[in-house]
Amino acid sequence: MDRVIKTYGKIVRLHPSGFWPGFIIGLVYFSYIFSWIWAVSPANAFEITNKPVGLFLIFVVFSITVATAAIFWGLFSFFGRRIVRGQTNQYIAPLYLASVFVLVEYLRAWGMGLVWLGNGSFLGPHWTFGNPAYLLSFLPWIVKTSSVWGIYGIDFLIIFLLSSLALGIKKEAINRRILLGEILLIPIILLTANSITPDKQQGTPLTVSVIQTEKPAKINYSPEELLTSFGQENTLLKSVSKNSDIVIFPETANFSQTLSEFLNPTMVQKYFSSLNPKNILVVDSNSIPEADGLKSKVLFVDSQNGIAGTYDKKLLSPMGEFLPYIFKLPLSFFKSFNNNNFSTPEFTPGSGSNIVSSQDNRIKLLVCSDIVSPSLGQEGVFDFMIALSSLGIFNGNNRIANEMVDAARFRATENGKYLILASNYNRSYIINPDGQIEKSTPENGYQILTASIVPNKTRTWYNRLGDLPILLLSLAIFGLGFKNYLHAKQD
Amino acid sequence: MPNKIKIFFGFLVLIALFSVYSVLSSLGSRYSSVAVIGMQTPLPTPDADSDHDGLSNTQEMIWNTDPFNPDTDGDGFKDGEEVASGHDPLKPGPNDILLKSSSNITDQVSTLMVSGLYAGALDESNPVKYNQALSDISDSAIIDSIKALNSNNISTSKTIVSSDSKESQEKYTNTLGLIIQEELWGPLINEPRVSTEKFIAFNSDNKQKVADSQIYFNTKATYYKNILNEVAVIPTPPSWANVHQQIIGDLRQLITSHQSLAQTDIDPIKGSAALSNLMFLYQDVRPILTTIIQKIKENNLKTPDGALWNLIVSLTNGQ
Repeated sequence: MDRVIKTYGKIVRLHPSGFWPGFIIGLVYFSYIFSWIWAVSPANAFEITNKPVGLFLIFVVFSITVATAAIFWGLFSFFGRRIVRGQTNQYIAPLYLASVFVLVEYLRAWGMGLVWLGNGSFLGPHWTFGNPAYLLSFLPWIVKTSSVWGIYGIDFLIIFLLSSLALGIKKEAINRRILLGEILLIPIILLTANSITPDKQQGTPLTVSVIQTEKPAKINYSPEELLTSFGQENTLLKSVSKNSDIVIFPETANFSQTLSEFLNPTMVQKYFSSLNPKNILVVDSNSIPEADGLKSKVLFVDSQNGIAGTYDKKLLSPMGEFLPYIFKLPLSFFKSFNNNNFSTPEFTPGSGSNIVSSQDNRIKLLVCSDIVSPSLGQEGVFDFMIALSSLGIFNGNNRIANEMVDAARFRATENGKYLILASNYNRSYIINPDGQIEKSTPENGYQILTASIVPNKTRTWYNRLGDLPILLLSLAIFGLGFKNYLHAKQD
Repeated sequence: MPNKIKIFFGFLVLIALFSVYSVLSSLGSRYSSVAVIGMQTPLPTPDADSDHDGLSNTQEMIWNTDPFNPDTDGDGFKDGEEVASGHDPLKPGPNDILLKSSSNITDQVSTLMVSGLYAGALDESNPVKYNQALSDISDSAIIDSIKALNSNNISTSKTIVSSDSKESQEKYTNTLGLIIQEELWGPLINEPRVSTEKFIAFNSDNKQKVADSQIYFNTKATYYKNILNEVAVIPTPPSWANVHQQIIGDLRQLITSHQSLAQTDIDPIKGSAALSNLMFLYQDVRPILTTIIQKIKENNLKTPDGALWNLIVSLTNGQ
């Protein structure tokens, strides 16, 4: 009991020195990163008639999200400072800092899920929004190394480089030649990582077409809106299906479901089979009510043989597909200020595999927020990737659109596969296995994007091992640093 | 105050300023469209209830009542109260009952249950007898519900038969096509969800919500009755008689189901049966569109004008 009281006393007296610099930098950085939260239009998406109340609720979500993300960076500077101070050899301090940052960023990816906890949550290291690695997506020789160690490996290098430079500037007595040697290690590591990527085993090229859409996020569409959007989808599908192997609709297209409201099941089958005499695959995302709740379900329709596979989205989008408790609790308080009931369809997460086999190919499917999760992208063996996205609820906000594209480039590179990003309210992209954008639509709106992709059967190191190696390495370095810190404290 | 705390509060102020800026810019962008078109006083919205009588402006239009007079027929009852209680808001009482309520199925089931208990048929100690009695009561409730929902008590004009010439057929399909596109297809899109929500509201303790649901279903029943009256007087070529009868039949069922749903608070069993019936009807009504287009193609007729019909033609091409 004495021990418990002493420990409690220590915690109470703990001054979080070193915490504030990381926290404050985090506040500024994540205020910019999560500025897309403001783009959620409560009036349209949740039928909130009282606009100031809607904006206040968004402010609550924004503030808690930013503050939580910043706390992790505060923890980095808190622990980093203590460990570096405890070292007798200052030259290995950058290694310690890099390892602490990797562990903190990994925990942040978990932590954001806890902040956005709600009925549809799927907990895990998924929410990598704002990971510094994404800022380097314009540097191909860095992006490519994610096929070995993922985004956390790149985080490690960034912090290693920045802290080495800071050490060289700050410490007068330090031997700068040794530091320079450390910094020069980075290009050698990059070159080595790029050279150990296995050769690709390429399959038969496929012609894929994306039908880009622009459907606003709404609970009820007017008959005119439904006719216009579905009419355009139908026209575009008919125009591309003759020359495509795969046609992809973005998230929320609801094409198959709307089709079944006009045609009976036999006629639906005839509709698809009349698209092309050969087998083509139509990938289409639908909101379908099932016994255990509303599902965001992707259908893989083989034009000649019917449904070839399905995937129920696992990582539901907070605000878009379920309301996090940090939004729901204040919302229940403000109910009396609203003219009608706040309403948003709450989805139920799926549990099955996100890999669907079709003919000779295994296709990895990522729907909307799935794209920011390296672990959901890495699981399993597959030949190419399809990502369906909808930014309707964010009114096509550029900040989140760019973040999604950066994440898509990393998912393609990590796994060494082609990735097709089909978008609603954003541009669509064909990204090659090196993370480079091969083709994209010129602007938002209803568009077609057609390209040839090559399935790749080879697995990258990252695809096999995931984040485990870099996390173990970081944990080992952190453990060593912590041990030295404890020794130094005892002395 | 230590510098660290000053810096921390400084950043909190920055975030607050950023938030205020976002709020103002968001409000600005929302109201700018109103300013551009120079609208100072917004027009009454269709969902608003201008005279506070319980009927929205849209519903007033359907009932043909005055949206600015809470008691159009001047009988001392508000228009919304009259619709909710099954009275005609355009006709002063007391003989202004809109719906002749058929027998109450929930009451019948209750009576049967009580009789069964007294007669000893609902005695759990005898499972065979008990199950048989329950099965009989359920069968009775189902049969009565089906009878009530399919009762042909809605009068329409007699079908006017026209010739089977191409011209008559095109005249028929154009008139029918226009009614379907403009009045029938659109409202049916969001109805399954809204009807379910309104039905659930009958479980609420909130009397206002129950009254809103009654008004909603009664208004819908009247709306479909108006469409039925329009469809019934279209001169029908003999080759279209089956399609015509199917549409008339579906409209009758839409009316009866909505009328029964409006009485859910006094007859919940019939209300539940009506909701199930309505869900089947929503599925049944939509394929009529393709049936019409296929018949038009078979008879080599001109397709009715409008985006809906162009879409159906495109969907059925090559089939």
